Amino acid sequence: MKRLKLAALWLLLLLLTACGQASAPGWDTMEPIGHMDLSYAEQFRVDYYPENLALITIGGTDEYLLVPEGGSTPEGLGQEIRVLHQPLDSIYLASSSAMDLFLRAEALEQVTMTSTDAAGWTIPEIAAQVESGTIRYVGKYSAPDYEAVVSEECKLAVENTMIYHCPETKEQLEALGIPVLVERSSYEPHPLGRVEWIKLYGLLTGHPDTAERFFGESEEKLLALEDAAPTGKTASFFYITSSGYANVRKPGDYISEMIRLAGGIYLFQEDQAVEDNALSTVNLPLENFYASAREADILIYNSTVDGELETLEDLLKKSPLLGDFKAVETGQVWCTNQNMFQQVSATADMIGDLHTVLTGEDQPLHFLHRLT
Amino acid sequence: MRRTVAAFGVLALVLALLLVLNLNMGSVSVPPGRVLEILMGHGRSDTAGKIVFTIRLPRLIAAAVLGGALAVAGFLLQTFFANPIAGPFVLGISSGSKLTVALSMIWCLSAGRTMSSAGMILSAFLGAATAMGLILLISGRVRKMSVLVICGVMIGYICSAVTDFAVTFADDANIVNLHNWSRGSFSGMSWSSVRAMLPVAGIALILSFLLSKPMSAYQMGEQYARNLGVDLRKFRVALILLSSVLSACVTAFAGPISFLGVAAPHLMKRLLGTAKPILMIPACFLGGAGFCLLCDLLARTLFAPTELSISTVTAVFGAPIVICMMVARGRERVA
Amino acid sequence: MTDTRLLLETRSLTVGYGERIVASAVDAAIKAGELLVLLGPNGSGKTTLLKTIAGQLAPLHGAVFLAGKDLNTVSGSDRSKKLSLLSTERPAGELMTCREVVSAGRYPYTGRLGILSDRDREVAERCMERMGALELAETPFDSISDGQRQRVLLARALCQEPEVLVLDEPASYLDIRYQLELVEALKRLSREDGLAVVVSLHELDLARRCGGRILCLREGRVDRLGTAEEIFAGDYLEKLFSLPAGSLQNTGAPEGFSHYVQSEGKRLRCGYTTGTCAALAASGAARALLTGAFPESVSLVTPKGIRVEVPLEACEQDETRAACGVRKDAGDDVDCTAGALICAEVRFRQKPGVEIDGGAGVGRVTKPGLDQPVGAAAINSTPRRMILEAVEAVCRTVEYDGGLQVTVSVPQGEELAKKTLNGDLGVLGGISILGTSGIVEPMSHQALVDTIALELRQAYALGHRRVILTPGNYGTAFLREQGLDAFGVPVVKCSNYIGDALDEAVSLGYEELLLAGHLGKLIKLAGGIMNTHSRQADCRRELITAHAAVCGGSRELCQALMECATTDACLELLEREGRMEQVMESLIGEIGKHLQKRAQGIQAGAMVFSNERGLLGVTPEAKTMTDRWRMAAGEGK
Repeated sequence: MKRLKLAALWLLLLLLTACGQASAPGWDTMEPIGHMDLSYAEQFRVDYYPENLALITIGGTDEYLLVPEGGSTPEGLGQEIRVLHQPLDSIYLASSSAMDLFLRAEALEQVTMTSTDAAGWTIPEIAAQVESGTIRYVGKYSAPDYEAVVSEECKLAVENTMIYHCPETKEQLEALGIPVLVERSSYEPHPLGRVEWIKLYGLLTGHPDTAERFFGESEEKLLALEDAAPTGKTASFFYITSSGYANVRKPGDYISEMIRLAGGIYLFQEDQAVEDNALSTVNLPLENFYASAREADILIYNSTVDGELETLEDLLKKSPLLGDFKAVETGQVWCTNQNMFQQVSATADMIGDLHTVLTGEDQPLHFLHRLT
Repeated sequence: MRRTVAAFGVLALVLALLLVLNLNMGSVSVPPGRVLEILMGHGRSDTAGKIVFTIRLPRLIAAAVLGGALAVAGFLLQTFFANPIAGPFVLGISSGSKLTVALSMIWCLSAGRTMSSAGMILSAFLGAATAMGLILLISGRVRKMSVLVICGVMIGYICSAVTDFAVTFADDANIVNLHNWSRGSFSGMSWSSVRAMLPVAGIALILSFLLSKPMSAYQMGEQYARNLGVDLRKFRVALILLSSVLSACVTAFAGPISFLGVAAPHLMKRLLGTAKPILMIPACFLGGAGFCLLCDLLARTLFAPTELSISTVTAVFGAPIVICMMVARGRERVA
Repeated sequence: MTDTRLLLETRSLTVGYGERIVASAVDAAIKAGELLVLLGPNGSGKTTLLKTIAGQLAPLHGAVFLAGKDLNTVSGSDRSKKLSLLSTERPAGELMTCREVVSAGRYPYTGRLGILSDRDREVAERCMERMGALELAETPFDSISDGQRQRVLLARALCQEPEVLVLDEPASYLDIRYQLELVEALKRLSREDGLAVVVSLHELDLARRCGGRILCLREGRVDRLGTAEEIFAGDYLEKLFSLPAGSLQNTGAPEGFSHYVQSEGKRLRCGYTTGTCAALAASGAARALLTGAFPESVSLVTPKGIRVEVPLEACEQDETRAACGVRKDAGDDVDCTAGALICAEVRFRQKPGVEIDGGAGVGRVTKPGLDQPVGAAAINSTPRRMILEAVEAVCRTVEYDGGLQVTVSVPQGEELAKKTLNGDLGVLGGISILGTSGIVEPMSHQALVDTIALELRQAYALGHRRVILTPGNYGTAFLREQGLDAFGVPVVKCSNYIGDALDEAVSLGYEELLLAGHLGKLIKLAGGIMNTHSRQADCRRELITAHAAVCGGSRELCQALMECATTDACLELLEREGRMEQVMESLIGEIGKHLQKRAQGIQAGAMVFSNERGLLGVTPEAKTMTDRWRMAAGEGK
């Protein structure tokens, strides 16, 4: 009898400890119960865990554990995994391209700080918020006003890959207890891959459904275009640098992808010796550019660097050599609007614009204008 | 004697004042009482504590130490070359650092790897050390000091040329920050950096102070120094080493800071009325620290939240000072 | 206790830069208390040598020894305590006071941080004081003059408490005053402090003034090492510096007069007398008055036949008068009037003829017995004649036959006179313008004695066994009158060195000796005084008075005698009293006795004369001797 009682006591103890463990689970024992469905994005993945935990992996190396409001951090979490506690109600968004996605995910009120001042924003809603101070300008991404950041009780800093040039900034933010998430949407090869990052932002800010919905709409627009037959037209996307080079996108870059998706052929001479690096553009001497793009049907000038062009004369001022180009002679020269890069969310619409340009349809354009 | 005591008193006072100002001024206002508490060690984990302890305190310590180190390096080199516009970077130290930093930026980032700040610091030191090694080699072979200056300037040019060469082939994105780095900044100065720089700068400063006796002999002229028993070869090596270590330290942790090393010794000479190294070295340290603290304060508060790079501010202050000095000197000579 | 250690030595020292040899095989040794001057043309290696000696350059071959130790083995700090260098490098004393610069010399003795102890401060103060730089102590070093700078740098060098001081062309930027100061300081340092001083100089007269040895470098080799006299003799320096012959003749000597006498291998430079100066000045002034302009220089031929040409100084004139001066050059003679300016003023006057008088600084005769009467200016007859001749010559040239008044003055005459016997002689208010021959032959004592000895020896070697000694010019004149110079007996001028001459004659083995001289000189023999130079002893009046007293002279006579200025005056007195022969006899007797005593073994006699009275007395031996000579001469000898 005594032995039985003892055994029962042992069993009870075991059960209790097991229960206790169940309430404070160890990380090593946890298994993912699902993952985020991503169609185009390759630079991040999200794994769902019990207790509404989500493990975000960026670029295959950076890991972040998203813990819901009121949830508890599991034990045994390694040093490398940074913990993000919801609600992330004060976000320092240094990545300007992410801002637009936050806007579309209706998560903008959780953004409190930015690295671009009001004058630098082309998206009116955002500009207004920065202007009014709702979103606070805290200085350049490389040297933010740390005191301001700390005083806003920043919960998360979202930076883009430029932060890799100033590692001490990242380290300082982390030293102040602010987790830094480096978004790599610029490395996404597919244009929609960039847009798909909205799902991550939606997850982080607690607006996953809005994000999903928006993405769904974008995807539909694109799929509609894909049905259209390729136009067979060639296009080149460039700008003239201050030292007289032609800066063109590399093949495989998302802009060249956009052109392809819009039904065009991105012109690029394959035999150009191009370094395989993480850069998306390359500087070509004008004669090489001449050789490769002279016969292009469409020329699109990238205005984000040194301002928009209005007329063909403006273009020729940049380089008189361009007068020889077929596209100039046929009047098929276009220029991007300033908002093209910032308005990531409108990528699908941009592709639509490109399609319009390529097919020569007479439809209103939102992101490009013709040079006359 | 009285003048010396008064001068040091003024310096210490100004430095203390600037320390207090730097500790208390910023985008966020923290009441002085709270500041004192934080210094004592209480409540460092809340917002104010983080601001004061993790942001302001290491920054001002770094600005003071590095500013002082730079001024002392400038004084060492000005005495050594008997040239009033010699500065800590006249031997090509900063150009060497810039080259290695540029190269490592380009190489690391184009390979897709990330670089830590420690890595950048090390690469800057490496560049400075290489330039220093070259200068030491050359100094062993030349008799005249003026030749050494020219060699240093040439090394600077070569490094700049190589840097430009590398930059030409790099994409703008990769080296966009090189320009910023080369203007110098105390932003993001962390305790680990301060812990790393204190022993290096500290030892170099103490050794420089111990060099004040042969320096004072050297001030009168090489032949007189040799006559008094100074071992010129060892002295030369020691001076190059110390000044290089000091300037390398500054360049590595904060980037090249211009004009401070040139202007501060002149100011101190005016203040003290003498050029005796045993007084000048501590005075330059205090003066340089104060100057740098002031410039850093202005850099971060004038256009907050945008930060000016420190060289901008030091140049705006330092260049007119140097011009005034030279004009005053020139007037004396002409008369 | 004189320190004679060998402090600095070079052995086969070859110096240069890298492959280039600048100087080779230099052997030199410098003792404590010595001053060595390096001379040599540019490029001869002086600076390189000094730098190597001072340890600034490594020697290419050979070695430098500092206080016995090879300089290579001596550490920098040890060397700096023993050797100190004043180089040509201009020190940059940035914001340093002179005191700080000087204190820098304490470097080898201070501690790690170079902080000065009390002793260091003391030493610095003392060194500044010695160099006369103490008043500059708080002045900024950059603002002092070159001369002052050298003083401060010397003080700094001394602060190192060295035993050897090396200076490289220290006088280069200094004016004459500082140059002389520097040389004096160096001499003091070597003499008083026992430092070994090595200095390279460009300035030849400074090198001479240093008084030490001179090492001459030519084309990198030691050409000559010797004393200043040896180096400056002849044309050696002209050869060393590749100069045309004759360019260095007037080094150190004033212009215009270089007449030399040879005396035992030494060339002694002659001077000209104050009488010559007065005549020259008068000539120049006369010319200026009569022609309107001073001549560039004036010249005359002295009674001895030597031509003297000199420049004029202190020239001034207006319509009625002209005045100028000539500086007396006494050559190598030791004379208090050397360098004095003798001035002459010439005025027109109604009466024809030239009148000569003395002005300020020229004495006035107040006692009888001298060349000039009482009340006249102390310008002796020969000078007066010279002045007259010179002025008359000028008048003849310009065909002026009017009258001129010449006044001779000496600006510092009264001061200078105090150093002469003029006061005793009753010449008051200035010096006397003297000179029988117009030329001053320098008389260095040893030279003269040697000259006398030489002459005696020469005569002896020629076979003479008889000799006549006479003190000076007056003597020779008298001998001629007496016909004593016609016996073929050599006459040797013994000046004041009667005793020495007698000794020499005795030792040579002369048999007969006649001493003939003026009473003023020979009277001293009566008292046993064998060197009749007025500096040695006087006693003329005392002797006469004593003998007069012994001969029964009254007390008044004796007192009067003691008041006399010259022996001639005494004689006058005695003559008046009628005691002259008596006293003279007495004196002669004594003179003869002392002469005999000194000239043991020789037959020696004395003849005494005075200019006015002629022969005054003859010792018995002299009488016998001269008679014998006359007889021998009469016999056709």
